[in-house]
Amino acid sequence: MPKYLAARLALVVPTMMGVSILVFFMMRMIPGDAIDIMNANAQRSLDPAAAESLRRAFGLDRPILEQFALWFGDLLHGDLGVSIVSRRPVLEEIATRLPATVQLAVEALAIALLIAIPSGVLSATRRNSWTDFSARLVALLGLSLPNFWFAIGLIYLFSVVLRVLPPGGYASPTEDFAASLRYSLLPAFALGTAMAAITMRLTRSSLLEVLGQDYVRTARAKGLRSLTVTYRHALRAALLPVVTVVGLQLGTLLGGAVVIEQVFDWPGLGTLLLRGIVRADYPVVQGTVLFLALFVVLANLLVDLAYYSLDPRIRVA
Amino acid sequence: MSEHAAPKRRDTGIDPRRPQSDRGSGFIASSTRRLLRDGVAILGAGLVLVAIGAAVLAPILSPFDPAAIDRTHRLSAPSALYVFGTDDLGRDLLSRVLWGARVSLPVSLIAMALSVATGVAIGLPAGYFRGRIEALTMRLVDLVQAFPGLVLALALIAVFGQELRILVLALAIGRMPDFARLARAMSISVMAEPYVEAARSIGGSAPRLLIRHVLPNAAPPLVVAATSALGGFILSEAALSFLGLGIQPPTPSWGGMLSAGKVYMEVSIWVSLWPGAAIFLTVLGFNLLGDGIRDAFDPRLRRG
Repeated sequence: MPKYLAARLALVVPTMMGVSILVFFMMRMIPGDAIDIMNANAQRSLDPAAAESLRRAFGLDRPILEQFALWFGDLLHGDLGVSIVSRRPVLEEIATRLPATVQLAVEALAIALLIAIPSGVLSATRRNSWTDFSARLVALLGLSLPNFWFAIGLIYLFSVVLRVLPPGGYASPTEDFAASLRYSLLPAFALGTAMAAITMRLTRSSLLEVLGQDYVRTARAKGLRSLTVTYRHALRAALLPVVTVVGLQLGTLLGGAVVIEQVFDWPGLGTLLLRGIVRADYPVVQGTVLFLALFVVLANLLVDLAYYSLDPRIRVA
Repeated sequence: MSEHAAPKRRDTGIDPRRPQSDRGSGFIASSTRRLLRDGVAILGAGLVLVAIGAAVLAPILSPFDPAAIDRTHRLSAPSALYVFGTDDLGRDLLSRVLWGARVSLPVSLIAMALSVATGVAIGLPAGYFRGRIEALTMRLVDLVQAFPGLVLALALIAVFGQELRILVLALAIGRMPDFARLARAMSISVMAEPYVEAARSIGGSAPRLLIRHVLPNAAPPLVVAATSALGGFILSEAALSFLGLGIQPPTPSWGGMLSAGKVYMEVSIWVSLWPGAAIFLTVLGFNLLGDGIRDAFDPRLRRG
């Protein structure tokens, strides 16, 4: 395997370990443990003996380094622990909600790219025209729009006034595809806006830069049609930085999903995380944060690998 | 499209038709002039000034106490008495939006300053010393960056509690990697300059070199990046408050007002409309201003 790839892959392991250490110790800095919090929330508090036996069951009575070693060992076996509130395995909780978040993120990404790349190309090829100015204005507005406010606006327009789309809820795409699409349209659109704006601006500036390069002039000089030059020669090169930034934005997209899921009652990882935070359900918060961070690390790795295969110059360096 | 075949003419910001004699030659002077001629940036600055004005003058401008409850006017539409309408408790929305600026702006500004300061404290030495220190600190930065968007802030708030200073800290840490990377890159490029080598050869100590030579030269791009990032800080604060984990009621915050208003959407859209518009316009102002400053100070990135 080429050196670059090996070095890049070797970097993933310490990052993931660092992430898990950080998450574990962060969660253990909470004053009072989960049993205390369960006690505080319950109508009738547990008697001390029962609380002690629960602590023992969850390993909360052991020294913190031992707790970490136990947790990390389990983690390597794919065991994220058991939710203190629901008593179900955290991995199972994540697995049930993962498809909803993936669906939301994929649709948002698709919407964002479908809007951003054509409008970015149009903007760049018709630079300083009205098309360009209006596309850039819309992108700038989209960049400044709080997604939760935009989401409320969408619900108001499409669910309250026009009554054409549901204001929230979820249907699995494998069970009822049409219903699933209807439920996901508004949240995906609200989530994709910011990414569409960023991607459009980047596509435009990247394509403008490429269009000024010598090889593009050569392609024109040898008489190729303008469209061929733009799409076959320039756009391919221009999309390289776009791929990178879209990959880096995946994390922001997931963070945004936490908020958007809340607005639309979407049963995804964001909802799981927030409920875990409110109920101080350590294992759930730990597991979800860890899972999301590992996802971002892997996404960045994939971006680098994609870059590697798209841009031959890296292979030399 | 033949116009692309024409050589690109770079706008130098200097109009050849006008006499050049009255122009200062300094980089900052010429950049500032460019900024002042940028209508869009001026519009952005105007929006920012309105937001700052609202924050500073809220006690004078507010027609009502933002916490005063009027049970006879709950969820009322905008009227002569309540210009923006009222919320579910009959509190005046205009007053609450104005007072909201008093919380959102300082929180975002302090978080931004803290974020830049931390980023600089990590990035400058990393670029100066290189080697192990760089490898170690930048891995730390990678680690922070692995947490998606708001998730790190959410986790920090979950652990350390819903306090204002935790909120500021959580916002600051989340964006620190951007500034650390930029500071490191600047530090590396400044270190290659002959005057730094000269200062080092006459025995300048590392802290002295960093503070006297590297920092001033790294500052302009950092200022530009910080201005552009402010909109993002405001959005993140609003999102956390919207989720109920940022600024806590009864303190009026734009995000908190929005989430309280969502329930009453069918009866009164006003409750969600105004705070959202306040966030949107403030963020837009900072984004326009940030774009303008970036364009004015970095001629290579001129828009258009």
